[in-house]
Amino acid sequence: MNNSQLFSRPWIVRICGCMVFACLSEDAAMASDFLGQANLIDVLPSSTQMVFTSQSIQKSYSLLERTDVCKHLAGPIWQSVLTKQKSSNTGSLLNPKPWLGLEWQDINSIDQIGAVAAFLDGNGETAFVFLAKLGPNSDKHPFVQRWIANQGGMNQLQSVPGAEPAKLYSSKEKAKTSSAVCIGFGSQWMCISSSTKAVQQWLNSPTIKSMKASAAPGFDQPVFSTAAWGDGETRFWISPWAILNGYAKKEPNLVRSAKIFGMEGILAVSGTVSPPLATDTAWRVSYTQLLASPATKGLAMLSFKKGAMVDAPKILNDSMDQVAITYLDMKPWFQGVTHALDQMIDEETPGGFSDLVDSILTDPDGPKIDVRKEIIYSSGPLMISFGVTAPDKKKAGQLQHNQVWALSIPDSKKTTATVNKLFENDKDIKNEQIGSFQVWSTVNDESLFVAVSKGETQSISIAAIDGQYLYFATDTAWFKGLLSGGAASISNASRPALWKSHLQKMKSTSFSMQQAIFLGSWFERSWMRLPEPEHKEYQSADLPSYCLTKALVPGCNAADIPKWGQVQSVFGIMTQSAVRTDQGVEGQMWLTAKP
Amino acid sequence: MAESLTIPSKRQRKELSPMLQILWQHWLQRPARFFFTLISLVLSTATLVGIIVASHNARTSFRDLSNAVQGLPALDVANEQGGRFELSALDVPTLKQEAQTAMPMLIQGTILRFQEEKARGLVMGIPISNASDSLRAFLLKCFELDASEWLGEDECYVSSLIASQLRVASGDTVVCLFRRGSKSFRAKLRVKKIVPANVWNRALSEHGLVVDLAWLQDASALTGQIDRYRMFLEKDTDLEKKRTLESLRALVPDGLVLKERTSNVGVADDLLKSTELGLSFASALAVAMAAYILLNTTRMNLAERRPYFAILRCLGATTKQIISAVLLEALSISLLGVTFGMAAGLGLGMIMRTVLSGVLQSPPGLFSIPWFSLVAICVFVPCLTLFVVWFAQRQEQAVSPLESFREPTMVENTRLPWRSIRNGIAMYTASVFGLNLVRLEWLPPQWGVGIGLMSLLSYLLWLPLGLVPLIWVVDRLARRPRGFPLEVAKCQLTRRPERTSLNAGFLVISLCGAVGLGQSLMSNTAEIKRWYHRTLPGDLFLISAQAPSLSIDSEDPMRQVVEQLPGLKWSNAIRFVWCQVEQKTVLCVVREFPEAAPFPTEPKGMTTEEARRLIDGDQVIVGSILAKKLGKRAGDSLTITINGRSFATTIGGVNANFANGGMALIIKRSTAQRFFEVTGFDWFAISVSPESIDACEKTLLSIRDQYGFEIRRGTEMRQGVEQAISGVTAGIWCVVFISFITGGFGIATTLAMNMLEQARDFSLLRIVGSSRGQLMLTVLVQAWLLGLIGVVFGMFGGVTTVLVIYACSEALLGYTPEFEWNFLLMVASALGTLAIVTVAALVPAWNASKINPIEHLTYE
Repeated sequence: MNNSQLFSRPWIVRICGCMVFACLSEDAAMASDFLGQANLIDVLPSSTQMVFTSQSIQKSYSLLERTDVCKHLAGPIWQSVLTKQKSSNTGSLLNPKPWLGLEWQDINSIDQIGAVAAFLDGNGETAFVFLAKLGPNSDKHPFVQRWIANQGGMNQLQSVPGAEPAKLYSSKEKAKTSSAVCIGFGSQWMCISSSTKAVQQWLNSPTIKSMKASAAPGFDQPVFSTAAWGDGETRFWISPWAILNGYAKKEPNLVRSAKIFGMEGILAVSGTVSPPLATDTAWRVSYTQLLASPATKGLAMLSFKKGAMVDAPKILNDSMDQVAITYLDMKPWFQGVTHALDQMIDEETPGGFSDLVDSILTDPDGPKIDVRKEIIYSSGPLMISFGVTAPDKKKAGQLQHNQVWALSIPDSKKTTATVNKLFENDKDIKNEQIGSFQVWSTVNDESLFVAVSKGETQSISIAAIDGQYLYFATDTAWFKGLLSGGAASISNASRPALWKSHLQKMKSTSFSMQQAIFLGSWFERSWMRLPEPEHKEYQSADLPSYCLTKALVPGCNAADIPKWGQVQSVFGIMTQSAVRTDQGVEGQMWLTAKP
Repeated sequence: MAESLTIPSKRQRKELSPMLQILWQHWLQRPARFFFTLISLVLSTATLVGIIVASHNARTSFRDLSNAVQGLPALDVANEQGGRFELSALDVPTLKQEAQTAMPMLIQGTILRFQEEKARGLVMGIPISNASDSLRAFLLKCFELDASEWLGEDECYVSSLIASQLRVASGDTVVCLFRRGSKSFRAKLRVKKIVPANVWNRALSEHGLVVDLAWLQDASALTGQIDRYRMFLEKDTDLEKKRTLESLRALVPDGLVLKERTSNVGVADDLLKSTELGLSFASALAVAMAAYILLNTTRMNLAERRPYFAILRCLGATTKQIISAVLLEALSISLLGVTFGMAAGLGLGMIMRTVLSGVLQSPPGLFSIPWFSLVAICVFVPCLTLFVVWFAQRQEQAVSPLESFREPTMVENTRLPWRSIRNGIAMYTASVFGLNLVRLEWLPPQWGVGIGLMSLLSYLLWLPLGLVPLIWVVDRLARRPRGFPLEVAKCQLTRRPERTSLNAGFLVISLCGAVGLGQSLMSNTAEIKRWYHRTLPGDLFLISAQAPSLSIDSEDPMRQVVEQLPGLKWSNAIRFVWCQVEQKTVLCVVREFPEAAPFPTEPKGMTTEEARRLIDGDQVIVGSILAKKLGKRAGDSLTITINGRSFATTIGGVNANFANGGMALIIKRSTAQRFFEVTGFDWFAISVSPESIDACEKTLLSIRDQYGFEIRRGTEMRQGVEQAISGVTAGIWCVVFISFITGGFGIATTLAMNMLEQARDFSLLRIVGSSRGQLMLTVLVQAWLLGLIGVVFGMFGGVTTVLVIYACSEALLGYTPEFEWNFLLMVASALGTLAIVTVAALVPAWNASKINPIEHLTYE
């Protein structure tokens, strides 16, 4: 039940991976009389699934370009990757030409409003479009000229009828292929897309209404609000379920899985991405997540409560890579966890996790404890999770995430008695006292709850209890070290301890979740796995690794990819503060480019 | 008798011919007499045939059911207190010698999943990987497997019952979850073969999956442990089982027990036995009534014709000729009666069979005819008729023809039949003694039927005693003005005291049945009503229409909905689980005992608080009938087996429990959950504040289809029981009514025949000046006097029957109901008797008033 287990399952990977991949795919789109509208909300069709927009593409790009990450990606370390991708015409974050028909620096010439959007075409498939408000003579704009030149000149483009009053051209060679790119010009907007058909349908159909006419949740905030734009600010609105639905024909299993997980409960995610303030070094992402109420299936994991900052447990030392303090509505939260794990353990035969928990109570040979009622629901609402990345004990040269979950317990005596009863008849579980902690653990990091542990995922191998918290952890020796105060020796002391300052900063805030992650440490394990091999139906053991493979280094082998030592300096700290609202979750993330 | 029943020779037949012609002439002259005699025979035969056919069909259905689940004969070694034991504790080689083959078994509960389907099930480990050649051959044959279908690694056989539940087919992979202490073990097993349920039953008692024993022991961390050691026997005979049990008992170590393989047919068996006991009693009454009707009708028939036979003898007919002719006549009419009776009885049997199958809760199966029994009845009824006729005619044979012309002597002038009265008293005393032995359970309950019948018949022998006070009273009343009809009626009744007793006997039997059985049944139905009302309180009931949910209580969404109902006072999820208790199949009622809810039962000899404490202390409350059958009482220990696993518990108390024919026990849900898996509900009783009932019902209606249940209001449920009980009560009244009709019919028959016999007297009376009204009144008064005797003796007999049944109810039924006298039933029975008698006498009375003296005197 650790994070690596949670997020490395095929299901999450499928969804997130597909979303990332979708952004990079060669689908693109464009405009009609729609392209003659003044406001973006009148330009986009009502089937819009996603939009990212900026008042000045140039401004946003230049701000991004100056970040350590972008500078690093533009540096010589990545040249071998870029060369390989260009030679094989593989689209990626580094090489946008195959899927946008341009180089990143090309957009630096657009000082106008721009947007990247996705909507459904007439066949119910997702098409992506890049929009820029270049005005009536957009075909003369240097960006457009450059783009046309990238395609081999106007003679390589052909006019596509039926888009009037806009003009629509598509590349000749690829006109009959799915990856054909097109460009459209209206009196106000220019659009580029890899889906000529979708753009043609959008511009040509009199029945298509604009986004303004749509009643989709969250449209009005903040993308289309009249609130003043910050300098270089980007605004976004995403309907994740709508995007996934666009892949219902291409990836029916993926969409089915997402539905089982409950993704349709995420109605919309909208927010802003702001560059660092003068007094700060962090990019800020403010977001609003609109959720169906009540949250069901896996999404019930987002069942938060509110609370104040607390003192961290004594065993939570400075060396932790990531810390999260969360106030949870325990019952729906655990139901969400159960649902998600039920799907993840065995997608073909779901229900494995709930069976496991049920059988602890119902099996005549089991300890006869209702784990939910007697332990989980009676704990909380505070849960503190933290961990470090450490060498994998089972696989030399690889890393593992050591994780601890600490659940606050209002009645420690009762909980201690229950946990004692849970483990008392298992001769393979050792019960000992370490300082003020009563500890139950297995030898060789075997699971406390599953008899035979197969696969590469870690499992909970140790539990402990004191007067305040019930702890579950994944690495027996490491956690015992924490309990006995010797954790520093096994954790990476060189890592920053910014989480403490972040939590200190949030002390006066009423929140649902506070989180601080040192991305460098977190990504190290994933980076060492690159490129993540393709598994059956999107299966991957590591989500970040899968996403990096798809988005950053597609088409590369391990030798082409920079080593961790070459890239680790670019990853900084990500901190987050979120609070439950009536409609969902509102939060802010701070991405410190470099520590 | 042997002489009389000899088949006539050719010469004799020639001699018989004119006799038969004369008798035929008698029948033609008296068609009513023929009709009444025939009806009596038809009625008797139909009753007997109906009951035997119904009983036979119930027995056949039960046997089919039993055969379907019985399996091969086997003995099991198991832990006496439930739980598992080490296989090494047994002397396996010696045990094997006594059996055809033997195998250890480990039974483990599991959660089974196949794709989206989920089921709770059992995994049975039997030796596969290390099976001996003989066991392998036995199992291959037993499960109808090819050698290629023998289980390999990670493979299993699945019972078709479970396969249909999981929708799994051969070749699919099922997932099962086992526990190893605090840990779980999830395994995937490939289904090697789906084994049909009837084939499965041969070797295994529970349905689920079969896997290799060693694998299951490893998966469950139960190395070396088993639940039972099953030894299959060569022969399925009680003798073989008993012999093997005795020879092996000494080999079984302490703490283990050797017992016969249990099957699930115990309930039906017990129910059938109880029903058969009732049917036996009804059959006995039917036979008694039939014999009584036959005896009375035949005797009257012969008595009425006594002067005719005297004339024939005077004319030269020999006694033998007359007896032969009369016997032939009886044989003919009895054969005719049997033919019609058979047809009517088969129809009646078909109806009763349907009712019985409902009582036994089993499908009625194909209708079958008990040919042997029917042939026996075809022989028995004519033989009985012949015997009665021969017996009656033999008595007449001793009387000279001259004497036969004479009128019978008055009772005042002769002595009462003290011999038969004495015999009656002796038999009655003996039967009371016998019933006491049944009450004390020194004799089996089945004996109660025969002894009860004997007591009834012996009681009837006392009836002539009733004439003494009757004559005394009638004498005094007859002295009053207009006492003439009374005087004549007295003469007619006392002239043949035996016949008068027989006539009144109909009414006595009817009243004994009506009052005795009626009162007892009413007490029992009242007890059932009390039990039901107490057991199932609540305002709303949810009746599950599908398999109970597998969600544990804290996660059961249905329970959460119920707990959030507005105005909820309490709720109670009830499960009905079949279990085995000491070789008997018992209904285990798993229920909650919310503090706010009334305690649902009333254990004998303790307060509600005490009972609640015992239930909270993990003890069970056992139905008194079950306790009786088990020979257990409060404080005794009880081993309950569910799904092949056993656990020991203590009987906290004994209560009146009518679920499953009384073979039931109650256990608290949380207690049950410690020993076996209990989730969901079969019934959900909910109590809410009165003003919230509608709102709650609306809420529940909105989720009814989602969770698959029916909603019934508590008042409806209770009305349903009221209706069911009303049905029983109506049935009782029907029984009473039918008894009266039968009795009335008997009375009508005998009065009609009396009238025919008394036609000469009435003719003379008419000539000497009696009015038609006086004659009519004379017949009615006769009937009323008979009715009076019947009511007095019948009430006394009925009350005695009630007391006997009440005293024996513990032995017969396993519990003693709280007795309640229903005086309405008594009064209605008495008035009904008189009314029926009056109605029955109307036609004969009318005929008497219309008598033509010339015709009768001329005939004479």
